[in-house]
This record gives sequence, C-alpha cells and structure tokens, in this order.
Amino acid sequence: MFSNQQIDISTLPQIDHLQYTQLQKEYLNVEMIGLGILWVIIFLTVFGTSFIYTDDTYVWIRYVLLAVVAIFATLSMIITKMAFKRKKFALRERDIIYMEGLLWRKHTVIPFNRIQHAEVTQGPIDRLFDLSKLKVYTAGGSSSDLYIPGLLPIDAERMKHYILNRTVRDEEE
Amino acid sequence: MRKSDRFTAPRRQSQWAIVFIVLGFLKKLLNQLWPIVIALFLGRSTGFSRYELIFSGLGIFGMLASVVAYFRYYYFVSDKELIIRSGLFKRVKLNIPFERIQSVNFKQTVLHRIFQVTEVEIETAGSSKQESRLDALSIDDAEALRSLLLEKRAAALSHLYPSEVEAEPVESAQYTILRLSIRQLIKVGLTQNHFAPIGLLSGIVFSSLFYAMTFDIDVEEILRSVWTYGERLAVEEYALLLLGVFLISVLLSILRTLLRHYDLHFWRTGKKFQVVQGLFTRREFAALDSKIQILNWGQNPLERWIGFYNIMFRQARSGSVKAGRMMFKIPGCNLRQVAYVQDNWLGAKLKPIEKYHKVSIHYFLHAAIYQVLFILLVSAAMVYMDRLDTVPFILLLGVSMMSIRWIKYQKLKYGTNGTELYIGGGVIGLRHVLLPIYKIQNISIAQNPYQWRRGLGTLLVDTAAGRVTIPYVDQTVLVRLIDQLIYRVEVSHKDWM
Repeated sequence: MFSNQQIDISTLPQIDHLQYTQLQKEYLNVEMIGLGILWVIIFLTVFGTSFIYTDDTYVWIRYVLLAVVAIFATLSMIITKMAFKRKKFALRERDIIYMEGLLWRKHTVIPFNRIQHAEVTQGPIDRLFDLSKLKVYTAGGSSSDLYIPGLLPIDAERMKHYILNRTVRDEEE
Repeated sequence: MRKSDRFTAPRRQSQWAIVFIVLGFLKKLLNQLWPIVIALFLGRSTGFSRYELIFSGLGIFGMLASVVAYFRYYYFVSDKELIIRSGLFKRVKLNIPFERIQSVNFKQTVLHRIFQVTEVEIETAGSSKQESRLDALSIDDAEALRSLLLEKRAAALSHLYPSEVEAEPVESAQYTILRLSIRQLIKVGLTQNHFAPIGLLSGIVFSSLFYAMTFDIDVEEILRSVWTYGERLAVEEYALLLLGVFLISVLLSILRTLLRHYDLHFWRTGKKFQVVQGLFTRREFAALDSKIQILNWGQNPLERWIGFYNIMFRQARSGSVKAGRMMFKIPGCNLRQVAYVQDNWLGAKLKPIEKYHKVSIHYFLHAAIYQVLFILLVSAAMVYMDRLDTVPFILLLGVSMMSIRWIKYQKLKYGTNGTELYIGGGVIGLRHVLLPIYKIQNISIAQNPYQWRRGLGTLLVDTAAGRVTIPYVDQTVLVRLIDQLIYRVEVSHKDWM
C-alpha cells in the first residue's frame, strides 16, 4: 500500500528537546593529561630553541617566552574544563546526536540508516581510567565521522550493538 | 563465433598495448625522476657518467619488464565475473562480478586512434582499491566486450533483484540531450572564464623562473631588464600590452574548449547520463542516477548573456578514486536541457521550492568587521612606513572585498520542496545546488562565538559527494530544518547509492 501523508512539521521530533547524557567525569582527567603532555612538549621546544637563539645577556626573553607558554597552557586547561560540561550525547530510536564546544560549538545528527560502520576504541590514557571511545562512520567523508569519548566500556559496547542492530533492522524493513 | 565465446578463454590485449604499457612506465618514471633527468641534461659532460649508465640501465630494464608484463596480462569472462590476470613476479588476479559493474567507458588518445584501439575503463560500485582498466583493445573487441558485460550485468541483476528487471533494460534507447556543433563550441569557448589562462600562464612563468634559479641562471638580471623595459613604456603601450595578454588568454580558453569539448555528445540511456567529448583524446564519462549525489548548474555573466548553462554532476566518492574523476561538467546547455536532467535524475518532475529563505545580515557584517580591521591595520602600517601613496589602493581593495561579500549575501538563498534541498548563490555568476534529502549522510550545526552570541549557526550537510553549507541562519530555524531533514532521511527506504 502506497501512502504519502502530508507532514505537519510542528509535530516532528525535536532535537533541542532531548535529555542529553554527559560524558563520564573521569574523562576530564584524560583530557587534562593529554593537554599536559602536549604543553610539556611545547614548553621543552620553546625553552630549547630560546637557548639557541638568545645568549645570556637576554635571559629575560626566555622568561617572557616561558610565561607566555604558561599563560596559554593555563587558559587552554580552563577552557577545556569549562567545555567539558558541554560535551553530551543522546540516542534516539533512529539516530545518534552529539554536542560539543564552548567557543566553537558543534551539534551533529547521524541517522542509523546512514551508518556504515561503528567501533569501540581505547587509547593509552583512556585505559588508565577504564574509559572507551565510540566511533561512528558514514559515507560522508572523514570530516563528518563522529567520535564520542569518555564512555564506560560496557556502555560503549552496548551503544555500538544498539546502533548496528538498528542499522541492520532499517535495511530489512 | 558467438560474442560470448570470444572472451571465455584468457585473452591478451591488442599487441599495440605494449606501446601504451611502455609509455605508461616511462611517464611514471619521468614523474618520479624528472629533476634528475634535467640535471643530467644540463650538467652533461663528454662521455657517459656512472649515473647516466645506471639510469639508462634502469630505464631499459623497466621497458623490458613492461614488454614482459604485456605477455603476462590476460583478461577473460567467466560465467560470474570479468577476470583480469596480471603481474610480473607476483600474480595479481582482479575479479569483477558482473553485478558490481556500473559502466564501461572508452578513452582514446591520439595514439589510440592511430592504432585503432581504445582504453577500456570498468567502473564498479563500492570502494575497490584497484583500478580496473585495460590499456588497449581493438575497437571491435572493446565494443563486443562492453555489450557482453552489460548484458551479463543485466542478467545478474535480474537474478539478484527480480522485481527491478524491467526498470533496467539491457540496451535501452538513447536520448540525445546535447550535441555541440562547431559554432556552439566556439560560443562555449568565448563564454569560459578568460582569467583562468592568465593565472595559468603567470604560474608557468613564475615556476620556470624559480627553476632557472636552481640552475645558476641570473634571474635578477632577467627581472631587471624586464623592469627597465617596462619603465620605458607609455600608457598606450601598456594598454596595448594588456589587450594583447587578454586576447591571448581568450584564444587559449577557446583552444582549451576545443580540445576538451570537441564534438561533445551528451545523452541519457537506461538509468544513467553519458558524455563523450574531446578532439585528440576522446573520453567517455558515465554517471548513474544513484551515484550522483548532488547536481550543480549555473552560469557566469558571459554564459548568461548568451543563455548557456553548465551542468555539473557530483558523484559519490569511493576508496582511492580521485575526487576530480567523480565530477564532470557539461557546458552549453539551455534551460530545457537542465530541466530534463533534473527531472530524469530525480525520477519525477522537480517540484517547485516552496519558499526561498535568505541568510542573516550577519553573514555580511561578521566578514565586514574583519575586513575593516584588516584594512585599518594595513593602512596604519603603511602610514607608519611613510607610504601614504599606497593607502588609496588599500582602501579600494577593502571596498571591493566588502562589495563581494555583500553581493554574495544578496544572492545566497536556500529552500526545500519536501524532497530536495536547494541552495543558490554566487559572486559574479549564479550557481544552483540541488540535493535529494534522502542522500544526506549526516547533518551538523556549527557555531563560532560571533554566531552563538547572536543565536545564529551554520548548517553543514554531508553527502557521499562532499559537503554543502548554509551559513548564518537563525538557530531556531536551523533546528527545525534539521528536524525536518532528518525525518525525511530516516523514513526513506531508498538507497542513497
């Protein structure tokens, strides 16, 4: 039976009236450690090169450089901490939604019937805190793939199975 | 001999394929080693150096290897698939099941035409890592192979999906959409972007100057003589020079159009669009309706004046295939032909867009703020450096940048008719983008600080053929638009490819 009912747009499900789930609190530690490693590397490079390009008469330049690096490092950590609360996701019957970003914000919806592949991964720092990442791929190119970090491994696996089940069911319908 | 018997036993390509394999090898070698080759030529002394001997040894070995490669290259058709066997030391076997074949395209360079052979390219669905290509088959073999493959493909598909048989006849009637006569072709050439060749020319001049520098040629001396020559010219002579450059550029773009689009034939058969074109190298392109994700059409001011449209197909990218090969552009169409392409691609008459929406004025204002800041900074720097005479030019640059953004803002519009998403815009011309909603892969709203403070956002729509964006739209409008688009994607049972 073919039907083609008119849709009242105001009755459609709305993505801004959903209960979003925040990431596991421990994931903030993972982000901070990652940032810390990054800034230590930057700090060492800046400090090292400042020895090559300045002699001892301009010692203050080194201190200024270090202070600048320290300020940026602190700022990035503060912003990461503030942005953490804004990272959240929601699962619906037919799609997965993820929000992130404090200054540059992004809100993404991926329908299950367009998902090509989903996987659960765990980085070395993730492993310390026993957290997992859910990755969802579509044919829309690598810039549009979705990563949801900071999930309990069991939740990540459950979500993956749910998504893949729905993907298959959508195809059979 | 029956057509299907001809290809059951492993066959070699036409013997002329040796030429193309060797040429292909030399081309690859030159691509890798051309700086060394040039250096050897320029720094050549009497007699052969050790390096020259090594390189020519390598070259000769490679050429012999490609000749042997020809004799180890076989293709044949089994009852399920096309099989290509190749490889010098390691045997490589490429199996292409009939149902995965999407189209079989020919490509003929001048050399192919001299030897009366053609390159055969087999386009497949999905992400095949390997290129399925035969370097040179005789025209007769190529035609026979193509019709056999398409026949087998139809049979395989009807076996797999019995309900869709009638939808895809084997050799369905061809409908010619466009055939460019020489007069139309010249018109197309005249309406091309004539600044493109100028850009290309200056690029060539600069890069050759750069390479000249690496070979101890006194580039400064050349530039100085050009400069002193330029200083002696009168205004009229400058005008003449500019006119000359422009005329050359126009000629070049006409020439390029002739080479690329000569005897263009654009037609529809079954469920795909096909085009064959080119003066020396004749090349076929095919685009299946299902593989086309986005349709672009538009005109630049010159095309608008003559009444031409160009159509561009954007197809789903897969695996290692280069993005450029998945797009092709048909120039010189009229509005009726554009409508024909739209309606046939969509499988139904394109419904009118219900309402066109404009983007927020902040699309202009946000860019304008940065442009004003940039102009002020540069002007201040110039005043500081005592170069007051440059300030008017900088202001002019600023005004033109802002005008471009203003025109873009004025032209940008979007809308939907329930099944398709439409975006139109441009600077000097007008380009239209049409995308069936069910082909959307995912949707995002991106907001920079300027945008979210004003309740605005940019819509990013990803498809398998790339991303389309609608910038600076009211956030609540965007969220409702996403609800609607996502709903359409999720209830759709059509395959996006």
